[in-house]
Amino acid sequence: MPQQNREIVNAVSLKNLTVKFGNQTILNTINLDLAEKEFLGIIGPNGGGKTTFLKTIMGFITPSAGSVSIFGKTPKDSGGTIGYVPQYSTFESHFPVNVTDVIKMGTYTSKVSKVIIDSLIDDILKKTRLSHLAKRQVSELSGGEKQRVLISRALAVQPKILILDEPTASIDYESNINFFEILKELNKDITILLVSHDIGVISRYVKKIACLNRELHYHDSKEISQETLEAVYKCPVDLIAHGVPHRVLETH
Amino acid sequence: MSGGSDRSWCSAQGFGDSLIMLSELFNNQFFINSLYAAFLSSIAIGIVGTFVYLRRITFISGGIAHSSYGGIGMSYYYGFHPMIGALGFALLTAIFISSLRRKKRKNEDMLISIAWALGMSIGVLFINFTPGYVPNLMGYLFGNIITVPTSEIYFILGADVVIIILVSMFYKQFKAVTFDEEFAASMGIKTGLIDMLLLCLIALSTIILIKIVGIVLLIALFSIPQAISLKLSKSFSSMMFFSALFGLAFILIGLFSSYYLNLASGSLTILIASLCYLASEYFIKE
Repeated sequence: MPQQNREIVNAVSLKNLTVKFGNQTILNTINLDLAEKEFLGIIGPNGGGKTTFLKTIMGFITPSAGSVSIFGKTPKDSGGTIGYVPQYSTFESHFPVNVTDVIKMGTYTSKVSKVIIDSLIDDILKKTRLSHLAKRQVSELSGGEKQRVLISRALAVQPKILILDEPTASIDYESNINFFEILKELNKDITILLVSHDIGVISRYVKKIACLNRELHYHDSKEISQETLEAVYKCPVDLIAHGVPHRVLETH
Repeated sequence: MSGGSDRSWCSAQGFGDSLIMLSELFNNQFFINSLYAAFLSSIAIGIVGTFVYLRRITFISGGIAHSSYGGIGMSYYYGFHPMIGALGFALLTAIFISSLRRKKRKNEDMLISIAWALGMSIGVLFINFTPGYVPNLMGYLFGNIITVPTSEIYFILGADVVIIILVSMFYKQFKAVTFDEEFAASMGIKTGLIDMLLLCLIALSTIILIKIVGIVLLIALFSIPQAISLKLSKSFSSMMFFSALFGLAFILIGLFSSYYLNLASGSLTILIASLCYLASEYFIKE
């Protein structure tokens, strides 16, 4: 897509974002500015508001206070800007659809011709290493393959931002490495935002890390102090980082 | 219905007489109407049934169908066509359920239960208020394909036409929302509106199927043909085609067996469908 707006606008900008369900505060005064082509990993414990955070950015949840802007627009006006990759385990694999059918769903709101869509899908299949499975029924795919189908579908939207919910959940290590290599390649053109409860794999690939547990701890870097992690998780870091907490911190 | 051992396949008159009866059947307007009804209802079973089954909202279709009984009762009291009453109640229920379950995040089960029971209660009360004898209500509850008057064929035809038009206009949106509602919303598809439209299509299907299997048995035709078809299908469109085909086959077998056995057609249709489902579980490997 041609860049029409020349001035620098943040891909995602959150100002004092607060979300409450009844009396319960799920997200508390969150501020975040995410520049274009950034790759931010947000980690945090289960129940820390990660899913709510993503849903609010995508406009499914209206904030109780504060604002969300996606390239300067409200989430409701940014259909087609965001490519959403849900957890693959929520994927309805009993559906009578093949890999290409699912990816094509990402183009359902696009107005371009069938020929262009077909070549777009060919390109995406190559990028996500799925060309050999193009006509395979989704019910016959492995977990890692399903996850790549979901990211392909998000790419078919031709988004400026990719949002991924727990991409590492219940996928084997090998598939995860594969998956993050693909993300790294995509990040040359697209801003990526992902949430996970697992620091392990993601910390090696993301450019920036933030911690979310109702409040967002973010210092515009990949550095996270032991204190921050412990404050966020409210438990010793070793437990959640599988004994390798030092992997989070880059050597300088 | 009269006692019918003389019309049975097993009767002493034999096979030849049965064929003569069959040719007589085709001269009977009611029989012709029931064939029309069978073909027209297979369209709703194929198209709407596939979305309903894959979206796992079969029980919403049960709620919408049962609520329509309120409109049938009302139509007897005020003296308008029962199909109008049924459609009105079904559409209202569809709109209420779809808007409430979204906007207020209400418990969906509760909404379905209320619509289900309230509609039936209103229907029974209006029939209580109606003076004199109210005929033919069993037909609406359990279906009686032999007694579809020509006026109802027009309603069924009209409902099918609306279904076909709406689904061809919004096919991609229906498919996207059925497959993954959140992703569809993230693309900017108005999922709330599409969901409401789908429930309204269920309301239209209710009046199509009401005389075939009736309010009570209708959910079986929104699950059995689709469940069998899913085992055979690799795409949405083939699942629609097979569902329509199975739906039609069950209804026709129900119709003919009802004629020869002199038993209720709706119940026979569901019995046959259920047996076929069991057989498919056993014989078709997914």
